[in-house]
Amino acid sequence: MSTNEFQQLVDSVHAGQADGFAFWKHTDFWIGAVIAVVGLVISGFGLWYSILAFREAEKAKTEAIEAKKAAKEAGKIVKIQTIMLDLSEISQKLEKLQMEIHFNEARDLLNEITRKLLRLTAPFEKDEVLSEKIAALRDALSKAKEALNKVRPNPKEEEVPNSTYYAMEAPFATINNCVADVLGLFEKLTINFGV
Amino acid sequence: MPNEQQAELFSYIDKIVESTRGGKMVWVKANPTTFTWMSPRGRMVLQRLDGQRRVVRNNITQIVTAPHYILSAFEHPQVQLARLTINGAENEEINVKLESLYNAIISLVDKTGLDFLKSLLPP
Repeated sequence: MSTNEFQQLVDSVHAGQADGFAFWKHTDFWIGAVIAVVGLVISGFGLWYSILAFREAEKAKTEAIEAKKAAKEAGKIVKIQTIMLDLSEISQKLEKLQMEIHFNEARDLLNEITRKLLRLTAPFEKDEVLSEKIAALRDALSKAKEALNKVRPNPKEEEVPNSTYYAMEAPFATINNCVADVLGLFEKLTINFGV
Repeated sequence: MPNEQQAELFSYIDKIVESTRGGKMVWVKANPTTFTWMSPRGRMVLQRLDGQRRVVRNNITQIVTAPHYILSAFEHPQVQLARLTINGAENEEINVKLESLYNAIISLVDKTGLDFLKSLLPP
């Protein structure tokens, strides 16, 4: 094609008069155009659904995190309630101190409750809310041990009636008060969790 | 406790203190804080307890450790139920009296221990 012929073709296209180059008059053009439009529409829908799917996935992820958190909190509450039951049991034992209690019985009781209380409170020893009361409880346990040592019968002497009760009544009452304090704080924690 | 009875009790405790100091009543250490005195007719027990007391100093209430004493009398050496119990925690004046008795007993026990130690030394 010479330069002149090409110029004529361009002019005719511009003028819309070139029969051989009026592309909109060709079926191929319209098929392509329709396919392109349909493709565009489908892509648009595809993009829209992708956005929707992404949003749903985000929502599902958030809900899963919330559910996991709720399950964790529920587990924590169950654990705290178990601890509260054990603490109540200890408190009841301390309240039933008999006047006739012997040294060896008081020693066994103190050892038992000391072991249990240390085990139950150990996970919360550094807890911001509970640490102070737990420290007071441990102090009360130490003082009870000291008080008990002060009535340890001399090996050759008969145990004096009521002496162990007199020595241990106040220290056991102090421990019981500390247990009640810790119990109260645990109750508050479960209330805050919405139980 | 009525005043008359209290006065009688004080006089009785004074006599016990005197007898203890004089060596007529020999107390035995039953445990680190409890002493007993036996007679054919009965038994007496004095126990020291570390209690706590609220003290107001300069308008500030403080909790201080304050010992108190319990004197129990048993009708028979073998009887486990006390016939009489006097608790110093209930009356400060009585507590002071019982403290003087406890100190007298401690002095006697310490003296007996020292005498024993001296007896171990070569002449």
